[in-house]
Order: sequence, then C-alpha cells, then structure tokens
Amino acid sequence: MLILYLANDDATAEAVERIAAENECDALRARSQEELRHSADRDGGPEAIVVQAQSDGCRSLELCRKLLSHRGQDRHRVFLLVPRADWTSRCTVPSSVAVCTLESLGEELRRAGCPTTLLNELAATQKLRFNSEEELTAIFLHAPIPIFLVDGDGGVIRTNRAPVSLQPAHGRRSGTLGQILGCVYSLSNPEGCGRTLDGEAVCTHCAIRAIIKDTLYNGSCHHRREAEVQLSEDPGEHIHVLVSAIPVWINSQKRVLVYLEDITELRSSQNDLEELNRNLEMKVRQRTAEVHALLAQKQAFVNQLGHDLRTPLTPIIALLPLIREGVGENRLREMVDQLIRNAEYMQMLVDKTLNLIRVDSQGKHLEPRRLDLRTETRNILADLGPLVHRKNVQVCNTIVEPLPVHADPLQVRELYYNLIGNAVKFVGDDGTITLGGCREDDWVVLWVRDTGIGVDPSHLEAIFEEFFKVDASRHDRRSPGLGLAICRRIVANHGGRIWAQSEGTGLGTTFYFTLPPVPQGQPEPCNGQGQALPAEQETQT
Amino acid sequence: MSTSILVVDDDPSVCFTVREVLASGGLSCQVVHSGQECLAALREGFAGLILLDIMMPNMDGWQTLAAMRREGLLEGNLVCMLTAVANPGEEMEDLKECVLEYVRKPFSAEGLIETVRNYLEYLTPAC
Repeated sequence: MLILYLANDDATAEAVERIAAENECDALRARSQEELRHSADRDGGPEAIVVQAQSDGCRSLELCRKLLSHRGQDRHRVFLLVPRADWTSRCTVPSSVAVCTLESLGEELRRAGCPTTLLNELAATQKLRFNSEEELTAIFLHAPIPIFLVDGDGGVIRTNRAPVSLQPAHGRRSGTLGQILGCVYSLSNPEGCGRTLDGEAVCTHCAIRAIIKDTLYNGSCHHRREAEVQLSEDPGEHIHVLVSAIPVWINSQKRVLVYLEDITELRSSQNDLEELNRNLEMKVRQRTAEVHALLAQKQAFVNQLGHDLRTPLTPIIALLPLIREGVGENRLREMVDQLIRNAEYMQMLVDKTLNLIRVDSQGKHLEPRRLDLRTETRNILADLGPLVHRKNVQVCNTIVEPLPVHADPLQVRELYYNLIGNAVKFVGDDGTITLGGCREDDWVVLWVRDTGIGVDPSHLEAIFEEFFKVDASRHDRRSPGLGLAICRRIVANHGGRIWAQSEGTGLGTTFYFTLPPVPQGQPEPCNGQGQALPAEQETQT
Repeated sequence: MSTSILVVDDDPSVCFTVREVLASGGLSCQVVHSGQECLAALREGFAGLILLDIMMPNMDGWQTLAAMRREGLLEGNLVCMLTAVANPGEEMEDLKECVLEYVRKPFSAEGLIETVRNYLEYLTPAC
C-alpha cells in the first residue's frame, strides 16, 4: 500500500515512515499542499493520505475536504494526524476523514487496508459464500431422509428430493409415505389433508401435525422435538416413522425444520430382539428348572443306588468272616479269604464311586468356614493312626504354625484321607509321609509327600482321571482308582488346583493342592518356595 | 443276655445277617420288617435297643421314629439307625436328638457286636 503524507517537521515524517514500514506500506512525503494534491490526483496514486494538522487544524481539514471531493473517497482514505487523542478543532471534521495520532496511525492503517485489497477480499468472501451455499443446497437436496422447511403459517416452503425419490423406491410403502407427505403438506390447511378414518379427520390425531405446530408456537432455539408415529397401510403391516422438528430463524423469521426417519426396520429388529430375550429368559427358566429336577433326580438315584449296592453287600461283608471261622479245611479257607478280599474291594469301589458323585454334586453347596489346618491335620492324623500303624510308616506334620483356610471341613477331611491313604498304600514299610503347607500369594499351598513308589512323569496328569490305574490290566485290588479323582473334584469345588510332582518311579511323589485363605485374614509365614517350613517337626510313627 | 434288641429292616437278608452276627456274639434279637410292625412291638411293651433301617416302603425309618416320639414310645428305648443310606438327610436334623448312632451298611460283624454291646449297657431313655 502506498501512503502519501504531508508532515510539518522531520520528526513526524520519520515517525510516519517508520509506522508505514511496520505495516508493510510504502511512504512518500509531499513537501507542500500543492505537491500533495498533485501526487494524489495521479493515476496509480496513493491508497492512503496522511495530513498532519496545523494549529487549530482548520486549514488542514480544508485540504482533506479538497482531497476527498476531487476523486471520491473510494479512491483513497484520508487521515488527519493530530498531536493528541483529545485534540479538537473549531472546524467541522468530515466524517470520511479519520482522525488519529502517531500512536494510533498504525492501527488505523491496518484497519483501513488497501481499497484494492478490500475489493479482492470481498470477492473472495463472496465466492466462498457462494460455494458454501451450493454445498449446503446439495447436502440438503440429496440428504437421504425427507426434510421440510415449514413457515410460520404451516406452509411447506422448501423440501429436499427425498420425499419424491422415496415414494417409488418403497413400493408398498409409497401409500404410507403419501399419508405422511399429505399430512405435512396440508399443515397450513385448517381442515388438514381431508383423509378420514372411521368418519373422523385423520389430521385431528396426527402426531406429525401436532409436533410441528408445537415447535412452531412453543419451540425454543435448537430444541428438537421428536414423535414416533405408527402408520399402517395394510392390515398387520406397521410403518414406524420418527418425526423430528427443530425451530430455526431465517432472516428473523421463525421456521421449522422437519425431517422424517423410517425406523420400521429398527423397531422390527428391537421387537425381534425383545421377543428373543423373552424366549431366552423363558428357556433359561425352563432349563434351570429341568436341571434342578435332573439334579434332584440324580441325587435320588444316587441315594437309591447306594442303598441298593450296599444292602446286598451287608450279608457278604458281615457273614463271610463268621463262615471263615467255621471252616477247617485250608483250601476252603483260602477260597473264603478270596471272597472276603473281593467283597471288601467291591465295598471300597461302591463307597468311592458314591463319594465321587456326592462330592461332584456338592460343588455348588459347599459350607466353607475358617479352618486351621494345623489343628485339622493333627486330628486327621490321629484318626488315621490305625491305618498308618499297619505299616512302619513315619508321618511328619510340618504344619506347626496356625494355617487358616476358607474351606468345607468335611471335604478337606476327605481330601486328606484320600491323599494320606494313597501315600500309605504306595509307601514302603520304612517310608515317610510328610504334610506341609504355607501361604503363597492369594492361596494356601499344601502338600502331602511320600517316599513311595513314585509316578512316571508321563502319568502325572492322568493319575487324577477317574479309574486311572498305572497297571492297565487293572488287577490292582488295592485301589479302584477314584481317590485322586475325588481329590481333584474337592479342590476344584474350592476354586483351587491340584498337581503331582515325582522324579520318577521309585523316587516318591508329592501331591500339591491349593485352598483359598480366610478372607481378610492375616498372612501366614511362608518361605515362598512351596517347601516345608524350617520349623520344628512333629513326628508321628 | 435277654432279648432286648429289636431289628427293623424290610430286607430279609439283612435281618438274617444281623440275627446271625448278634448270635455269634451271644446276643439274641427280635426282628420286624416294617415301621408299623416296629410300632406294634413297642406298643406291646418292647423296651431295649432298636436297630432301625431308614429306607423301607410305606413308612420309612424317619417316619417310624417320628411316630415313636409322637406316641411317647421312645421312653426307655435307645435307637441306632442301621442303614445303607450314605447321608442322614434333612429329616435327621429334627430327629437326631432321638438317635444314638448312625451305623452304615455294610458293617463288619465285630463292629456291630461292639456297638450293640456298648449301648445295651446304658439303655437309658433317648429323649
């Protein structure tokens, strides 16, 4: 931008030059009023003229008037440079003359800008606006949902293409959409669309009409109102339409923007989903009742089975020893002994099988409570004294500190009975069985270790399966192969796990299992290695 | 030792077994095969140790025990449940004060004789 200025002194001229440079303008000093007017009138002249006011400013104002009247104010802006912001003159300041001080000159120049630049910016803005309008129109016209602009009298003043394009596309629904469109288009008619149903005007109860009128008369800015209408074209076929109305102001006139969404598919899916949920809940209830009935049936069956298996065993178990006493011949005594051994095995098999079923079904009916395993294991070992004494087995209980767990006492007792009984069965006459346990992280880890025949590493997992026997021919009459399966169920009932470790055949076995600790209990001492506590050992032989 | 043992069991083989086992221990017993017969024996004046089966048709062991308590027939008697049922069941909760012991079938001859001899020494009212 070129600035032509008339300064009374060099200091002012220097200041004007500096301000012009700061605002990326070129400044040209006129030495006299004549030179100023002459330069201003030339083609390609300045876009801004700065005149420094003299004394009361009247002569300067006269010069400004002449500058403006000659080529018009659209040619250049005229600034009267005054010494102070509160400067006044007895002469009238033309409205087209901008009065400023050196301090405000830069701001005034920036605000004024170059007339040419302003024109360019205006053109650019208009172009942008035009583009935006085109874009908005395209968006409005091609929006995939019907949109209406309704005026204050209820008349539709603009729509997009969706209402027209949707009608043939929807086939059977065209009639229904026609109802909607008829309703919207007849908003301005007090009589409505004229359609009647059972002798009554449809528009009287039309939710679309109601919501638009409500928005028109009561709607506040940007407050959207919604209504869902259900229309039926054919018996049994319902069309769900969501009508939204938003008040908008265009040129200070209140309008209502209405758009419709066909939500039939959505509602249909929701209804299907609700129906599915209802069916699912009903099926779950039915299945639950069936499961409970089956569980009760199973329990009754197990009870009956236990009774029917144990009852015929009663005479065999009770009478065979009496018969043996009366038999003198060795060969016959051996026969009776064989019968007794098999009868006892059968009794054990029945007991274990029924125990397994019972433990399995009790999984959800545990009665856990605080159980101190130091006391519990002592009592269990005392109970199992006769069993242990049959062999010259040493039993070490290294649980010498209180070790509380949250478990079902009866199941824990059965767990230890099985593990210790198992160890006694497979340990040598001079073997040792060790009980231990400690608190580790969120669990109490316990173990029963023996110096018995050990387990082949390939069998360490399979031994917990029902009826698993290392001897595939299953001639082992010492165990039916259910004890460890029962242990696994009991531990699983408590959310824990059980596993075995053995270096191999002949090298002993350690059975580890975990039980939950007492909630909010104090942590128990543990060396963290899953090994026996290095405390005083209690030995029982 | 005089007959002061009443065996109540619907299974003839169990009745035979108990009688023989007790006989081998020098004990004799009276045998009935139902709850009704048990009540009849008590009404006729039996007093002693009752070995009562649980699972019996028409009137099971718990119903028999409840009837005994209701009719005041427990006076002067001891009751041991002798049964192949694994668990006492919920009925036991109400009646357990009337029961001395729960002997499970199959039992050993020695075990049964020992149990019976122990209780015969007391023979005080159960409740």
